[in-house]
Amino acid sequence: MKHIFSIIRKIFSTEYILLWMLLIVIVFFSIQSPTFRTITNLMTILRQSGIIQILVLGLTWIVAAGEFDVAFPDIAALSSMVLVYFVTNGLAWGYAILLAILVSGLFGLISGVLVNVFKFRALIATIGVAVIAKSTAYIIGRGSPIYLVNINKTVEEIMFGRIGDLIPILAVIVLVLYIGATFLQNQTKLGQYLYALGENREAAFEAGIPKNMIFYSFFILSAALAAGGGILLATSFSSGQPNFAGTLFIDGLTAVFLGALMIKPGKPNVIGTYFGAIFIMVLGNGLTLLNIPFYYGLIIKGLLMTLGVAVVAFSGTDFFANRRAKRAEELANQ
Amino acid sequence: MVKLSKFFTREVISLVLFFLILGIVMGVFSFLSPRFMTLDNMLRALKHLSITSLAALGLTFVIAVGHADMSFHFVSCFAAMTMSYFIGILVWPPLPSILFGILAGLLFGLINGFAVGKFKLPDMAATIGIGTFSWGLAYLYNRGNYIYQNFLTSGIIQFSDGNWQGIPYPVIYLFVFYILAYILLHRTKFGRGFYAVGSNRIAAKFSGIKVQHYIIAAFILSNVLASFSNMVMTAAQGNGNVKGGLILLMPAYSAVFIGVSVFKKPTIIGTFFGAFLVSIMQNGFTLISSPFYIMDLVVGLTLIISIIISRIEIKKNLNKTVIAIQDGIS
Repeated sequence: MKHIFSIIRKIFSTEYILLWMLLIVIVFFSIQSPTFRTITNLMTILRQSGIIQILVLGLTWIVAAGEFDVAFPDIAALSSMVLVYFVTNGLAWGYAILLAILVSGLFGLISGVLVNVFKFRALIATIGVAVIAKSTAYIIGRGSPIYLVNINKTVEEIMFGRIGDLIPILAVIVLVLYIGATFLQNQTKLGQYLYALGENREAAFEAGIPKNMIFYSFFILSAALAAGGGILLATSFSSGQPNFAGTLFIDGLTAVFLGALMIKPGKPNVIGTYFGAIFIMVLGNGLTLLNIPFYYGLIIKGLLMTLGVAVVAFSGTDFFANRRAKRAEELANQ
Repeated sequence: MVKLSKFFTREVISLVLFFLILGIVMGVFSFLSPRFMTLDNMLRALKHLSITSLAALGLTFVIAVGHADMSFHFVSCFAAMTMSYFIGILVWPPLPSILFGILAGLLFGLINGFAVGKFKLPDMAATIGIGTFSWGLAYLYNRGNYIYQNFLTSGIIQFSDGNWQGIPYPVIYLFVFYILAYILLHRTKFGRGFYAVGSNRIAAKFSGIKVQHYIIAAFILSNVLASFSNMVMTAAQGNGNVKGGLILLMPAYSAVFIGVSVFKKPTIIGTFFGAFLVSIMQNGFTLISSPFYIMDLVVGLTLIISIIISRIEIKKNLNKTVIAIQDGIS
């Protein structure tokens, strides 16, 4: 009996609050819209959230380490333009994808150099890099999108394919990627360093954590993953877009900060981001099906993001500390 | 003899470097376009400068207290749409409409200030969240459509196109606000507090400075001034547009950080210089009819390069040379 109570208490604790929010939203939309609750639609949501999940995986770690990266939507746009430019000029898809990722990685490296060598604040560095990436993307297309005539079968299969006409291949790939990332975050030194940097930069540096190396690899990783997202977006739009219309930037950041509500309350983490992205996509999909204009989504996302940030900030304060101490005491008593 | 090392301080070198760059930029543009160096164009450049520089002026205070504001461009959209709503849909006269727009900026300045100053939320993320919220609200006024009704008849156009003895109103706003801000930040005790909060918050707190008040004041200034500049821009364009203010973000940050790279800290004069350089470049690129993305590229590069220059310690190396020269002479 006691055991069951402890399980119930655990389920309702802050670690799983995002899952409950997700459940409430899904139930609400399912009641409101018959189209929403079809299995096809739910699988489409899973597939669409895959793109955001790929885009913000690197960002999650950068934010966890106490820095910021606003360049990811523009780097995704750049990579889509680079890919489509080379493909339309007759390069094989494999090489074009490689080039797109390399170019984007270069921009990540620039962010890293600016932050590490020239001691920029990451926000300023990535604002600058974002603008340069965006204008480079515009220059490649001379101010307009480039349309893709034929899309490579493999890439199309990754983007739209379904296993057994049900489970999207992209969702499976993202799941594998996230399981790997969770392992990296929880089981290796890298993850330890990461949160140490986020907790106390000076102390982490004094303890001999290779700060520069970590930031280089994170910025490059973030840019390369953004490039991957950009390639998928190019396939889905069947064109390279110098500026993805919509709210990629806000969606991505909201996913990360909502994710920080989960598992490690107050710290952005991989599993949280995974569900945060699904939450954002459920919200967008449901609002569209209910014919609610997208700007209501904007308002809700703004509020949710502020909420997530507030919880992240307050997790360091007495309120959460007391709860944590209490739980530790309970565990000790058992 | 004159002490060379005293004269060649880092600030003088940075200033000389800055004016050298400005001179080169202006020289190149007057070479490329004969219309660049005309009085007419310079007045137009000044009008444009007032929009960029007013947004940057508010941001200077936020940077001075050691924070970053990623919401002022979103909030400015909300404020401009508020003004457009009062003019276009409710048919109010211009002055109260402008006041309501400023009020909208003030409201979000307060929210941002409280979130960052009082509740200690991380500045960038919190301001992006609050900014997104305000931008979503801006869509509500006319479902995201343009508001252009009554703009020609209500006289709001005068807000940007009017002039006093031949000086366009925006230029007057520019100088009035800059002089007021200069007096506030550099000539009053209250203003010194902004730097105190920015450089060492704990020391500031223990010397009796109310840190929260300064942060809230900085965010209010940032959002109100950005709102004001977007309202001037809206009046000039003749319609209210939900995305009009988004272009303010990049030039404002560039202006402030070019200023920081000249004077080593955010100052009113530095921001003015930065805004002037950015604005002149934007004006020049428009005159030679280059596409907007080239303009963005150059502004972004200027931002990055100016900070890199400021980070390279000119002082250290140059002082060595100057001392060597003095040793040689004496």
